[in-house]
Amino acid sequence: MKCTRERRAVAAMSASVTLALMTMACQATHVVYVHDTVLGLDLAPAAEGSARFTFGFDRQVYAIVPCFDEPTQPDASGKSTGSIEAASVAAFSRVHTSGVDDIEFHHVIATGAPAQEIAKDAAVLEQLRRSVVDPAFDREPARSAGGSTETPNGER
Amino acid sequence: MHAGVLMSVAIAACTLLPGCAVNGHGLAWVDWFEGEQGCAKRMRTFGVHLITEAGVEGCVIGWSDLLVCYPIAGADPFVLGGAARRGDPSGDVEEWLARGKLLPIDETAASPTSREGGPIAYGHTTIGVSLTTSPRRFGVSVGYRRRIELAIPLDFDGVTLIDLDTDAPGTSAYGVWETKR
Repeated sequence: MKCTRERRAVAAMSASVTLALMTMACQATHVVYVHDTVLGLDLAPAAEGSARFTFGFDRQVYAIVPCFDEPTQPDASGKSTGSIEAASVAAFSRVHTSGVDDIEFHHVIATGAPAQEIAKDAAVLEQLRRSVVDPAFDREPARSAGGSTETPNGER
Repeated sequence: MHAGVLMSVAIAACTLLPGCAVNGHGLAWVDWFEGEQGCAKRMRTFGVHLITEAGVEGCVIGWSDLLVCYPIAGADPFVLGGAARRGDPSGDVEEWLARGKLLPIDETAASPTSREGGPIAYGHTTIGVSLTTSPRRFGVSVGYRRRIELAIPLDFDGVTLIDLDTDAPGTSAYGVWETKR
């Protein structure tokens, strides 16, 4: 009887590990922003590649930026070695929670070539930042510490 | 033991009796919202809710409140950076907030056929038993659970903005900017 229980436990554990590894092996295809709140019991053997067991209250806020293999130029010996690169992302986020149930989810996310362009453009960066971080952005211009009016693109 | 089984069956029957729905079709309260570049569908169900939407796949037994936001096919993206260069204090963002606002619309006037691909964002509140089988999450939960997820394809070149309040979809907004200079 004891032997049977152990076998069942081992079989269940093996299944969980296999499932987790299968998910981890999957190539991520999306840039993902997640807010996850649980009150009770939550079992996720393969949540974004990692197991999760929750009993009680848990809140998670996270982002996943996938990596991909990028081949490099051949070296002197003619060999081309690959490197692992993260996807280009420029983002501003604001997640506002109040209590268990009240959640506001604000994100502005640039991906690909625009992310690289925007990262070099201070005016656009400031405009995007204020659109997400400053909820009063569209109601009145922000005031600097000295009391002068500051426009979204940083001009005074 | 026998009484326990009967009690479990009775509780399950009471939960299932109110009805079943598949992707909001069936016994469900459905509301549509639409902006210039996106539309959102809110589905509230009690009973069994089977969901096959890409990225949100799963099944809920109990209360389910699901808001999914789709891009609209063929919508012209906003141009980024123009207003900032003109020195316009209101900028592009204010314009986007107005044009991207998801406003309630009549279900018959909704444009579900013109939406493009699967949802780019969703918010899902469940009370009861929920099973999730999406590629990004596989698991089961019992009790209260709320998940909000924004997923942008890796090959997308542009700027995505989401301003989502799942309790008040009418104040939410969605839009995509391209970076033509």
